[in-house]
Amino acid sequence: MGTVQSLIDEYAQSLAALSGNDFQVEVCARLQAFILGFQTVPANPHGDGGLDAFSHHGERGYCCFGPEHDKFKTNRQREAAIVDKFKGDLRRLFELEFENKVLKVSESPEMATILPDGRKINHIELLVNWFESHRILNPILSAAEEYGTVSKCRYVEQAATVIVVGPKQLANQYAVDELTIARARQRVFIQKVQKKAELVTLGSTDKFDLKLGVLKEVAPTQVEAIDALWRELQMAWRMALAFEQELDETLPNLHRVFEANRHRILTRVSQLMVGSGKPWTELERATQIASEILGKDFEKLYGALIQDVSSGEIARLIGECPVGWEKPVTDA
Amino acid sequence: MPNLGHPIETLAVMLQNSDAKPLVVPSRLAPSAIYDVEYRTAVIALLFKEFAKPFGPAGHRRISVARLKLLQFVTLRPWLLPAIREWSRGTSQGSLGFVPSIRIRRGFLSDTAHDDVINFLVACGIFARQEKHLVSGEKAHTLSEIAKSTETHKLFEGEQKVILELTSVKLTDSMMEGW
Repeated sequence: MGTVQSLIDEYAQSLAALSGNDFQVEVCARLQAFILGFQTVPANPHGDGGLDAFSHHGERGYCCFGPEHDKFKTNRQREAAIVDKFKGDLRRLFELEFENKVLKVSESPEMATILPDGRKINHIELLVNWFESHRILNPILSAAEEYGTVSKCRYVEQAATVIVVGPKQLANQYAVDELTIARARQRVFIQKVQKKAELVTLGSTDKFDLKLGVLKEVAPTQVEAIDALWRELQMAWRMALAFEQELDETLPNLHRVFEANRHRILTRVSQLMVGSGKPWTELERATQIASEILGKDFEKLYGALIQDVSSGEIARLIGECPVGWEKPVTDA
Repeated sequence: MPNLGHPIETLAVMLQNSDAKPLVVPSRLAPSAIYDVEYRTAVIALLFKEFAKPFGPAGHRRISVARLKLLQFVTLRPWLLPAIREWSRGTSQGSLGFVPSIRIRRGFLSDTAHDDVINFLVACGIFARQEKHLVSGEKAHTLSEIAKSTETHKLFEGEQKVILELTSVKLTDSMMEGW
């Protein structure tokens, strides 16, 4: 019993830790697993009409919101943002907008292309990654009632019910199995790597910067492009280091595999460059080589990161010295 | 974190269009020390010296397998010290939540590189296994010598500082739960 509760708690915390698109994707993946006919609505290219997903033949609608955690200084600000976002979604579903602070009907051309013909939403779930205050309820629910009276109600029943669902409620709604937990851990891992990459400090970059100087000398017309490229290389390098550090802290076994892969990348790239008459052409293929090597062990778990980590690993080879360049020697 | 472009490809094209001379020296990249058996043995020696307790009348010393594994995990990763303090205080004991406790627990439990080194030290007679403990073996003096030499030559000073810090952190039974 304790273990089941632990899994639910862990999942609730993982949902609360996600934000933005990651939160929406995870919520939709979960609901899709349990609700037959759960249909997500792509936001691009025509907009989603305020509806992120629907189910029950178009009678239930779902709107998601995962505000960034460090975006708000106080809970009051967070509450206000959640209320604003969901009121905005409801107005779009009810086909309303403000004109000079007065609610007016504004027909949505997209809703007709989303819901099945003749169906109206009669229940709306507002899914959010933070639901620690009841103060968001009154403004959202009152707004929904007001919108129902002003709207032509072409796609939403006037008396449609609206509920707010937070991470705890969502985690408790359906069974939490190991697959769900693994998926949540994976998403949290990816988010942590991306955040950590912004904070990682590169060790000694003297030799890396020396190469920057030489590159500017051999390509003097591209100084600005080189500076921009250097920032990108450092960012890639930091991403690789963040990935390595996160593996080391949480999955040492995979870190060991990663370390072995690093050695393979170094060997392959060096062999190709040393053995080729056109070494820079081989360097162009280096990221692809790194992706192939890393992909075998990490593609299934962290596919979204492999391309950036691969670039980062090659940037590391340049930064930590095995791959470099120098000015050509002239006879004079 | 913005999505990166293709910086290596851009760099390669830039170099192709220049007359830069390539330098490739694979030996310049040092492998990670974390998989160096001698480095790990030195850390284990320092930890055993600091944390092992006297055991039995024959002058042996022993330490819990789980305790040593957790201690070495943090010693090799000093940035985890604040997290282990928090875990020890119990402020983050939210069952299996995404809190430092579960992240460290998941990490140190799957640290098989440490298990391999311990197996090696047991095979060498430096340690003997006794249920959930490691007891000093017939050649345990080797471990003491390694610890002494490491301290005398001021090697791994960063790790030694972490070990000193760890003496003030209480590793509770609940942290070892399930072990």
